[in-house]
Amino acid sequence: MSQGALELIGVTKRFDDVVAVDDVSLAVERGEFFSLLGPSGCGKTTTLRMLAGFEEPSEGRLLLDGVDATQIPPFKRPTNLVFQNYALFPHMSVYRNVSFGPRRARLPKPEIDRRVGEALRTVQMDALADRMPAQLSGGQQQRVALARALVNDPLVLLLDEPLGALDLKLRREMQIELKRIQREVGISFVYVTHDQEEAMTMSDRIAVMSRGRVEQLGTPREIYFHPSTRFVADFIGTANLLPATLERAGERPTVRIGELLAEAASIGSAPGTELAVGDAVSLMVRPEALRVVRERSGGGLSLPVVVDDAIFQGTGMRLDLSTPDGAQIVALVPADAADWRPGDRAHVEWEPERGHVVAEPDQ
Amino acid sequence: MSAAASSGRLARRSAARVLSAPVMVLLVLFIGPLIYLVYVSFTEAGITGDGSLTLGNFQEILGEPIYREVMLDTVVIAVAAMTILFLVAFPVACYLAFRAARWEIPLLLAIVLTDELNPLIRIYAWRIMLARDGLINSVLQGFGVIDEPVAALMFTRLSVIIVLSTTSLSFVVVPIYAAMKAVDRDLLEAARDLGAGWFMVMREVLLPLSAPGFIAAMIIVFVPMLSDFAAPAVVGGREGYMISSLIEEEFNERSDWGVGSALSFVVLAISSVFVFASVKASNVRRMQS
Repeated sequence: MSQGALELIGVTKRFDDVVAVDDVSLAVERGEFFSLLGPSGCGKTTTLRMLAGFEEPSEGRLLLDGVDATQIPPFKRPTNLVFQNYALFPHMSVYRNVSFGPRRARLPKPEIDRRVGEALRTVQMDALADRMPAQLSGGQQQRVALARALVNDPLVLLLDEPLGALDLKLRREMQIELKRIQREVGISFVYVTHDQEEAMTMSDRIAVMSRGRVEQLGTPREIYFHPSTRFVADFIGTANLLPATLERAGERPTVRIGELLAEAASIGSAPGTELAVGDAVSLMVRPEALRVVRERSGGGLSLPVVVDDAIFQGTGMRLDLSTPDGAQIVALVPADAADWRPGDRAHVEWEPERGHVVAEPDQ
Repeated sequence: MSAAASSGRLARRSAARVLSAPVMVLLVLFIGPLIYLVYVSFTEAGITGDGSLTLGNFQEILGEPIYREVMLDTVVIAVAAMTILFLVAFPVACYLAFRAARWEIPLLLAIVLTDELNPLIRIYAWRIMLARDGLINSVLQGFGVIDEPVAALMFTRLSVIIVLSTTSLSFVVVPIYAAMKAVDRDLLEAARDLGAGWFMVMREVLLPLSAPGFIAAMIIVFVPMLSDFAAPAVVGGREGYMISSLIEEEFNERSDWGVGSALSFVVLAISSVFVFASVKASNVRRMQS
């Protein structure tokens, strides 16, 4: 494993009695696009602010480039932050905004000009260097904010939901653009977002956070297909979580859903919570892994259902189904599939390798 | 003719009627006397004067060294007092805006309340403090810092500056505090994140963005300081003369309304130039941002 750019070791942050971040440990590699993903109040922004130096950890340490940086103030850290609302200096032109960092670093004038020019070219804003922030659109301000941080060539670039204020279409464009820029400059990005789709689109790895803790840390693929907890399964994408009992743990876990004995591909469990036979669990199957048929075809696993609603969505048909036990299931089927109507009886089918078992939250 | 147009005209007519009263008050009580003041400043209005038009009053003011000296002194005293006031008010405003936390409102109220004290009582209080056998001299002597009382504390330019600079603290603190409070905290954090220490954050971001508050505070306190009468009258003595002391003499002792009016006109002119320059400066800033 190469020398990490950034490492958090057992970091906890308390505000008075409230624990905002609870014993978080993680490492970000050089050149990695790393996302902190979670609902609001999960501690992702506090974690980012500790990385930037605006908050001091109550416990634990922060290493930057292998060196303890816990006590280093923001203006001396090799990190730069892109703010959610851009925080461009309204009384300075684009050029003066972007050159703010290099000017503080007392670089020679030609070097400042060269760097600012390069940063503005990277974000395609070099033509508007003389504009004031108020004369720019939201997307353009976003680019300038990015250039203002990138120009300092930080060890780690921190981004606090930078696309939150943009409309959906522009946000999609900027996601691709950000990923391109990140590859181009090769700087580690730590990206905070509550939008799981955004995190999946851009990230090499994602830390899913909930209530101050990291629930799961992995690649988008791992997190989507093999969530370690019910929370992650539910938060990432749409998940059908069928209440079940664990019949067999291990390589090929098997669960019982009423009459059905269902084999699954994998089992997720957060560290320290080993599942035992007989435990209450959920079988997770993604909507796109389900087939909906009138008569059982015989292949794979199957449950009888009733169609509650059929919604045409353009790219496909969304079927809301319920089992005789009352469990709700969502299936995404091709739009040209059979014409389903509420009240129709049907069967859902899926292959065992599309199933994944997660523990029920304890309590 | 449409109903909308006629009701619009009606609204305009009744608006004119409602506004005519304040406009009359303004004309009779403010504009009128001002025009009269300008008129008198151009007439022979002394005891021996015949009321004819003349430029003599202004020639006298500009010709006699005493008038020029006092005018210059007045500007120096007002600028010095204002500078001291700002040096005190700036850290107070910073503290209130960024550090006071739950003491913010109580402290703000306390500062506003200090200006509620009757100015004359405050000035006489200072007289007790600054006098030859006053509090400051006694304490300094008691601690052996000085052997003889410092005479320069009373009836000097310094005493007027001290007294003026301790009035209207809230009029400076509040606008600066409000302007700083309105500066987005993210901008200050962004500056720190980009490598600025506290001094650079202040110079590059906080001060430029809260400049309108500073300019407002300057306009509010400089003009009254320039024309202050009570402070030089009570603690100024011979040395701490200001224009208003001269104006009072012209009207009450020499009964030369012409010269008195001309002096008032000069104060008005200096004040106006200052206010216009300040407003202009703040407009330029706003256009830049």
